[in-house]
Amino acid sequence: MVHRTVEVVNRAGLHTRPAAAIVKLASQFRSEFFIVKDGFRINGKSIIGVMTLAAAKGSKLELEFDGPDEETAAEEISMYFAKGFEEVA
Amino acid sequence: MSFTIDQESERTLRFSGISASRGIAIGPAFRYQRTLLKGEDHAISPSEVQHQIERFESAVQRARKEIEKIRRLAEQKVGTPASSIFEAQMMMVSDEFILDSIRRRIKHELKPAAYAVDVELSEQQALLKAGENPIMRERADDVEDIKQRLLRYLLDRAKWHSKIDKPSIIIAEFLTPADAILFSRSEDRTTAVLGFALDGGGVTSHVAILARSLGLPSVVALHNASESINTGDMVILDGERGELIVNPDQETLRGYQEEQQLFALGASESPIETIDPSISGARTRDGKPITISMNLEFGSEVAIAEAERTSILGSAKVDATRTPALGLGLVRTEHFLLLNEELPTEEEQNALYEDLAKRFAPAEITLRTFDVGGDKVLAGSYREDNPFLGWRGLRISLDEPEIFLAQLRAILRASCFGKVRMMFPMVTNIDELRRALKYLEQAKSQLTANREDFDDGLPVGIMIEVPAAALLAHVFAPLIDFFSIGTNDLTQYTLAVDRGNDLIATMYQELHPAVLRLIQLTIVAAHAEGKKACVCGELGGYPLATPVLVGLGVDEFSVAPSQVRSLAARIHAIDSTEAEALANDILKNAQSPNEVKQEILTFLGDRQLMTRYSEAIVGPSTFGKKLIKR
Repeated sequence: MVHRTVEVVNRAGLHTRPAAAIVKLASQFRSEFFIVKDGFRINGKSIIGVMTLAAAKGSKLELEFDGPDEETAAEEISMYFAKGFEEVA
Repeated sequence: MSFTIDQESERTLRFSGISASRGIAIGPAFRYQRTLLKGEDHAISPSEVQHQIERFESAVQRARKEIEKIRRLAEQKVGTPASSIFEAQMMMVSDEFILDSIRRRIKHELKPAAYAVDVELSEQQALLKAGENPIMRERADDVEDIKQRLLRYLLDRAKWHSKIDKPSIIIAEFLTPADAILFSRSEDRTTAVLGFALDGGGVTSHVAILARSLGLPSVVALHNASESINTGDMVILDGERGELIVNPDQETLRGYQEEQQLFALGASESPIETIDPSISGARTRDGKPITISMNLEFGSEVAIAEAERTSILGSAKVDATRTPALGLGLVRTEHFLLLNEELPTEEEQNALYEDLAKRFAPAEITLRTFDVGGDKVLAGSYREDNPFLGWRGLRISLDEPEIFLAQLRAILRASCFGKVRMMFPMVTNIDELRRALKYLEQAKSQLTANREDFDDGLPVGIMIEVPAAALLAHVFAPLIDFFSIGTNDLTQYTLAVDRGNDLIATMYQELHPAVLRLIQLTIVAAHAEGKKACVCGELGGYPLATPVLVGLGVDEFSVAPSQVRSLAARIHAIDSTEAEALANDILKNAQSPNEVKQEILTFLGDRQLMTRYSEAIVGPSTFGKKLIKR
């Protein structure tokens, strides 16, 4: 099991487009993927789940990966958060 | 299709909302009512489970097929960035975790499929609405769309009637993104949707985004307007001012028809020859160059502005790397403050400014320092009795040097990544400007001390939005590089009219001779010092104002991205010498806003500009022209 703490850095927050991209990215890995925010834990491969986090800019999220490719999954998904979902500011 | 208004008809109703997509639509209302379906709660016997599961699976299959059809239609209508809304909907209806949870409710809780779907998706919607991110609250509508679609199959209800048999303005409590696309599917002008007027919704909702992509005027947040409107009522949808007028009187209708006709100008899909990329704007008929740039408010508008610029420059077939292109005449930096609880740091600001400078290089971007009331800058600060006459704009910046210096440094640092201009809002007094310029010098020395690069010659301007500044423009002109006339505030402060106040909204008249005189003073003062004068308020995009503003000598217009083409076409149709004569005549003779308007209409009429516009642009036998001919 791998844990990572990430922050939402883009201005618009974790909205539909990045939520869809995260789910697509996560689906490429066999590992299970959960996101925890304020004690609320959702499956990171569920788009509606990721959307309901409604994470605004500055939110801190806990990512959990568990499975054969957990290291790579953790690396790639945290990177996507760090890049601000490839959005302006 | 007749729009004659019955003299005995019902009284005029006006509703105020928020403009979600600009433009003006006039036509009959189509009241779109879809009852929200619900799944009823009752127990099923274990023997029914299999049947309910099968019904559920087939409903999901049908929903997928339909959404895919809508997605393709959207791709055709609005292109990929906007159509990705439906790709996300497709992912939602294929979300195995949610589908599994619904299956479990049927199997273990022994509930009918419709109830299981309703409860599960309603719970997800409640979570979305409870979240801290306002954008995601609006996404509950997308889930509603999926829920209603599934319930419709499960409850064997007929399809929603999203087809119209004549050009109509859609009036509804709410619309889903799919509704918006389906209404707009007709290629036939005689059954085309003219615009959307919605009780709910926000400007960042998916429906609003689609409406802008479709180029359909739309007004949202009209509260309960839809209750008072019936299919067939004559309505005016004013996406410029965010209003909906039902059963307008003849005079109002005529005014809007004229305005609409002027708006139609340049909206055609024919190649735009009126934009001259080499001068970053348009030329008048006699060849006088006038710069056109764009106003930028929200982060999401960056994409709109960029797309508009690419499409215009692309159609003009120019080498965008060599010629100056459409830049940004006004970037409202305060959206940082409005979206975040905390003050943005210098780094956060710099990242955005630098990105904008790079994206628009070699064109200029004009960053205006924060222009908001005090409550936005310092959390918990007291409420003012009269915020418009209070602690706002440059006044706050000067009182909070640390915030101001951080913003100045962030702007300066961005200036070496493109062409950046800076301006100060709400200047009323030369001492304020002197102090602001001193802080600018201080910010520059701080950067130099830290060996950070910046453009030392970065042009600095001020907003002219208070009558005092316009009257003393000659005092300010030697100290700055350009003026930017904010006509919205200038009009409010000159006429003592709050345009947000319904009781006096009709008194907000941008074409008031007093406002025009202040604009003239500003331009004359700028030109006497060899400086430029830009108009960045809404008046710049107002079709009737174009000839008089060109005549007054405006060097640059900064307008909403969607208005660039039509403005360029209007400028191109005007002779600058004739426009100057018109402006002089108006300043000399016009005594009221109505007289100003009348003079402009006569000017356009005499030169047959109105007819030429409608034939060249609106084209034969279209809806717009029929209205005009009446």
